[in-house]
Amino acid sequence: MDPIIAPVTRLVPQPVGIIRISGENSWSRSRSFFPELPDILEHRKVYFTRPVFQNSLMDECLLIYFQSPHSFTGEEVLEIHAHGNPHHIRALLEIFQRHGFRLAKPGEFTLRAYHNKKISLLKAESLHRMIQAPSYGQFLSSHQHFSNETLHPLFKFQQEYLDLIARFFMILDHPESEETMSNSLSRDSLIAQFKSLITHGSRVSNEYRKKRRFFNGFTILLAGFPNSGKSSLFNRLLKDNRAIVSPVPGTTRDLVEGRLTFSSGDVILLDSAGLRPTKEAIELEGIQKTRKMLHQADCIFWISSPDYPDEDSFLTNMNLKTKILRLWNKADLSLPSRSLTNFDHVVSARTRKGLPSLVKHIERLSEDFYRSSLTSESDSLDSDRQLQVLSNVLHLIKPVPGFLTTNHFDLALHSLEEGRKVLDDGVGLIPASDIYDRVFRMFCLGK
Amino acid sequence: MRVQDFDVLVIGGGHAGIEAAFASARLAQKTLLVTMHLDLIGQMSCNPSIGGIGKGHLVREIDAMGGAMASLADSSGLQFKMLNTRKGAAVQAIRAQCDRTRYRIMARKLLDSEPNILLRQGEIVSLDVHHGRIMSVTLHDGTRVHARSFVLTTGTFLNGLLHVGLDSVSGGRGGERASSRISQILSQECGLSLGRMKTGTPPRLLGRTINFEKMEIQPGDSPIPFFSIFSGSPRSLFFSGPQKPCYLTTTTEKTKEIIEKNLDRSPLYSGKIRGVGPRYCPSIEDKVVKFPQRDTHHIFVEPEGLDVDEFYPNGISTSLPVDIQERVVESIPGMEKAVILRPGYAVEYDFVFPDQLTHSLQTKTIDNLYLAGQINGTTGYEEAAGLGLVAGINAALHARDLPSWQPDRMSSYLGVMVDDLVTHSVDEPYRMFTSRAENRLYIRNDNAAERLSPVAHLLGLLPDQKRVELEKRQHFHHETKKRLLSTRYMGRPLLERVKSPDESLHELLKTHIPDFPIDSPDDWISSLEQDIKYEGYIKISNDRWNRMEDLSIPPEIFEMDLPGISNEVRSRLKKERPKSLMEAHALRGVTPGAIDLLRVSILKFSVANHKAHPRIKPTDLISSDDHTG
Repeated sequence: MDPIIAPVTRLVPQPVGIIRISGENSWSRSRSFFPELPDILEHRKVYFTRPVFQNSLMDECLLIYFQSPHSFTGEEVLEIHAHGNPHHIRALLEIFQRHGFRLAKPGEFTLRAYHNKKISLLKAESLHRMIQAPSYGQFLSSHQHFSNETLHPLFKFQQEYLDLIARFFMILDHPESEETMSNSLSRDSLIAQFKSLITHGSRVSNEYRKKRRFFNGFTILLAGFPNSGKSSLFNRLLKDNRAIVSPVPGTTRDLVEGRLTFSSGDVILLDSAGLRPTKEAIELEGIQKTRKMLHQADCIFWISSPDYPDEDSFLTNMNLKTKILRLWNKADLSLPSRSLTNFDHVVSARTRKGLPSLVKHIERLSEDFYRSSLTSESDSLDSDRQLQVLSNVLHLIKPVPGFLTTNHFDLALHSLEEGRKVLDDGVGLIPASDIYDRVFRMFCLGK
Repeated sequence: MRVQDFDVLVIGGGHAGIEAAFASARLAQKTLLVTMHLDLIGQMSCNPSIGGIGKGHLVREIDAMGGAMASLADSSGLQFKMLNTRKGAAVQAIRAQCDRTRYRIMARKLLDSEPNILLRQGEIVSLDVHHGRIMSVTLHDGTRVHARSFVLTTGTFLNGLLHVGLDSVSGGRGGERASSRISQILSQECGLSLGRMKTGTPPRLLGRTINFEKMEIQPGDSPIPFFSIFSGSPRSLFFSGPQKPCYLTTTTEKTKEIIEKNLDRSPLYSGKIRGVGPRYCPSIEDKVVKFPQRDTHHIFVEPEGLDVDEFYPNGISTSLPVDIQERVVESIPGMEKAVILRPGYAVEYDFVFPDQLTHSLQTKTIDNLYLAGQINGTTGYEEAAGLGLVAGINAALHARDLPSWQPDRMSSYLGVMVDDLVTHSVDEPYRMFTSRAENRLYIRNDNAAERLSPVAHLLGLLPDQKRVELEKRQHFHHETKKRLLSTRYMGRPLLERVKSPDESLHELLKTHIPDFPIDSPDDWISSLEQDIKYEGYIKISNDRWNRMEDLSIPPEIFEMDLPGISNEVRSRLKKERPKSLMEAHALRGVTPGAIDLLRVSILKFSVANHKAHPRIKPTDLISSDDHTG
């Protein structure tokens, strides 16, 4: 395929910046920039070299060469380790682009690896989960799937599923063999095997539903009425703890997001729109997002202040299952009129009063969260897509026992085969349709 | 030196050769069938049985296409059985035990009675290949035969090598000569790449030395399920008295011990045989080695014929030395004193990797050469016959300069088989199974006529009498369906009740439509019944359809009389006027069978009107005075 190029490291000042190139004739097309190197490079060898562009020297760098198909993408791959000045890396990218190298789309390297059968769909998703893991424990658990696909619950389910189909093939195509005439392939034993397959599938689905919140990291929503000082508390928590704050705040949740990193794992802080009755469209949308997040977050910091001393009457009507901590902010202005024990923390974002103990509390919550994420022994699915695949399969094969009881083995097998198509697509054994393109578009997979 | 001219030359007189010659003759082609031994035309080299799951489906389809196998089996059957009766109509199929000698005689009789067929005993020693076409072949006696197209059906005879113990002799079947020249010609002059396969048979036993009382009797079905859907085929046994039973016994731990101790004398396990055998039809030594945890294996003891006291112990195919075969037989209950009439053997033979063929079974290297049967890497009489039919039809169409016909995997096992072979090639002998067909619910045993006979008619394969029967059958379906729709029971059409798995159409007709002609043939009723019952479940998968050529539909087609296409489909086509077969297929209610018909109609139409010919015409090197046909 056509050669693509992308920075592997972030475009910020740092000692080393890495660029990766993949595609047909990657080396011969970039050969002219590296006059010092031989025409033919050795596989997986590191070269020290000085690239030249339009007769001027472009820094010193290391170049690693991967021969096709022994690379991540299965294509010819070059990795260039240059000094990590962002302007310099951008300049290098531009030079290559001007010479026919296209800037890779998100996930395109992994997509190529998939197309070239270097990586399966399950493995790609494990890789995604591994890279995005909010804690080391999560990293290790997804790494298990990545390093050994046969441990993947969907893979195990598929094996049991194919076993059942094989039994049908045996029964239908070899009606007079010893096996078919024996009890192990009787109708009753088929129904029993089918039930155990369903149980297996449901267990895997439920396990994922329980575990999926751990994949995103421990999320704390700062919520309260307008002007209760949510944003100043949010900023103070992030600013004062710069050492543990990730450099770039994201807005992936449509809420302002910041990340604190403890040794147990990441804590995601979400600042939200103040809750109040409004008819203004944009504000209303923000409020709706906050309401939704009240259910989804792992913990809510409900913030009250002298302007809105009413602690949480709003929350009690919402029937929330989420854990709630009550905070009194602006303690420098006034203290709550009622008993202090109604509040878990009394803080002031401005004077930093009560903040160290709040941060300690957050750290404790994070530890509890990540500890509980590792309690269960069994493996989990990696993504909502996988859950959807499994639910679709389980739905398609529902009529099987009914068909068997009326002696319609042919119809039962047909249902199983319909399910199998979905399962095969989901596991990624059969390259088909655009589902894969969609998956790789949605996820930035280990570029 | 004598020169003879034919339209189609069929080489080989096995199950593939018979169907190829028969199809070609029905398409009015002057056909010559050359075989090494005239008395052995239609010989069943392995077990004396036709049909089974998947295979029985093929026999029905061959019959629906006007082929020979179904009526040959019906007229030589000793016992008939419908398999999988309690597993769903889509996976049911017939299997018959046949009288080996009578089957052969009936095959010979059929070919002898066909005016367009001549038989000739002889062996091909050379092919005259020029510019990618075979011009003529030469027989061992010097006779040269010209033809416009050639069908090669060599079975296990290509470089056949028979193994018994560590001894091996050249041969195509027990007691018969192999053909040694053709392999070399195929690879050197035709540019085809060849592989090697093996198969095997058990020892045959003398009936009066078997103690059947120690075995379990396996009777046939009553009423007898016959293969052929046409009335020209017999409707009763060819002999008086009841059907002949088979018998069931098993191997013992003693058998296992004997085999385990003597594996070093097996050509299979001593590394002498290099051909690949089928996993689903293993020799007894294979079974013992690969399933050591099993102590016993089933053996079905099948009668070979009415006039011979010979039995075929199905399940102990072997190539062990004769003294070991004797000991194996003695270790089996009921066979303690059984005498071996012919020892079992394994046979290795050459085949052509079938991905070198097109969907019409034409070789990609030689324009007028068609291959059928085991030479294509299949195993089994039914598979061979099916391929013979397809190759014979296309060789005849080629000889007439007509576009080829390709069976479609959406609508037939014939199509599944051809598509599997030419797309994926084979790495073990290919046998038909229902599990190979993704449209299993539609391509059933009961509706072969509905699926294929209209196409056969359109191609010109059905004689008048069969055509009339087909029309009657279609009329019956149409009228009965109308009655089922108009007759109401508890406020709903009777048709709805037929859909229930517990209702029998036959009973419903008897109870609710008193004037219904209840003497209609059972298989007309049952095919309609299953059609109604399965309709709601059938979602035709066309995943692999794009391997078939999509054709554009000339608008004139909609105004033409398309025999075999139902009125519903016809009016839908007229209304929607699809531009291509793919578009037509997407319309509701348009069956794959109807698509097949449309395909053939379009090709015929474009030839008749000298429109763009879909087949690329080869450079025609044959001068016209070379031909008489």
